[in-house]
Amino acid sequence: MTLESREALASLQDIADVEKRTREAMFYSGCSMIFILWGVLVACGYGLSFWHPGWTRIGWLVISIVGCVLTALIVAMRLRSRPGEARDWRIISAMVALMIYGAGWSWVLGPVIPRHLIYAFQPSLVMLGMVLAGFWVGRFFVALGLVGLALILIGETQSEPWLRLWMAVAQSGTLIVGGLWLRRIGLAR
Amino acid sequence: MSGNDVIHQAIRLRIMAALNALGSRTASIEFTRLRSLVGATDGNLGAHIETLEKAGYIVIDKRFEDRKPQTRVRMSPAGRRAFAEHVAYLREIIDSSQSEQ
Repeated sequence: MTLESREALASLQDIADVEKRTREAMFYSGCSMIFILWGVLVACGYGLSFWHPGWTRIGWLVISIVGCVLTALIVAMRLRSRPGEARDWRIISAMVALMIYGAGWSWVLGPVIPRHLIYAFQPSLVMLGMVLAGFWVGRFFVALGLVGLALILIGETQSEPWLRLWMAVAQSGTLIVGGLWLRRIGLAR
Repeated sequence: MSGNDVIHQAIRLRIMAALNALGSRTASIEFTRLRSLVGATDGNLGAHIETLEKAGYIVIDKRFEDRKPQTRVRMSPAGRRAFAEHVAYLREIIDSSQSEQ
């Protein structure tokens, strides 16, 4: 078999395209569990702050720590089953760093600035992170982040008690639906 | 070094690229997912994976999951070697044409 360089180049390009799509799909399925986990945790956080307002600050702190530990465990398990996939760790570490950054500022500014701004600040930071991550890992994340940001902005127009309820449904809903959709379009083992 | 006629066909090349990107030796992919990744029809993909299986490059595993029939495909060690050799051949063509210019 003999090929011209133009044909060889086209074949290599084809291979690179398929490999990129395959890795993207694998990454999507890996993220689905993390999205669902955070969706459930965020719903718990809002539920706690609604029914037990006195526990809000400590509750969110515990939820953030539990979320980070479980996320690290999920990523570690994935890396063990697929040692070559280093991308998981870097992108998700960046997202967790963003969450910790947001949580830190929310903790400091919580008593000073209006409550509704705190409800919008951290989740909008996470959604922005998702949009930015999407530029590297796939359009789905850009779309999901933008939907989340739009829902947070709409929530800002609500007043209590609907504000908290809206944020709970919008954020955990975005994360859980996103996670289920990622599972659907990703490559499960 | 020479190219591989079995692998070089466009759809089969994509199938091998997708399976190779899965990484580990035991990683497999479900038929419908593979179909969407390589952009083939059911019949087309079925015929091509059969060709690759006959060549010993892939392994087809048919089973039932939740009472539904499922076909999973994975690359064999021979397939991985053949694919790597074919990619090396393609790169060699490009390198030699660049050195001629």
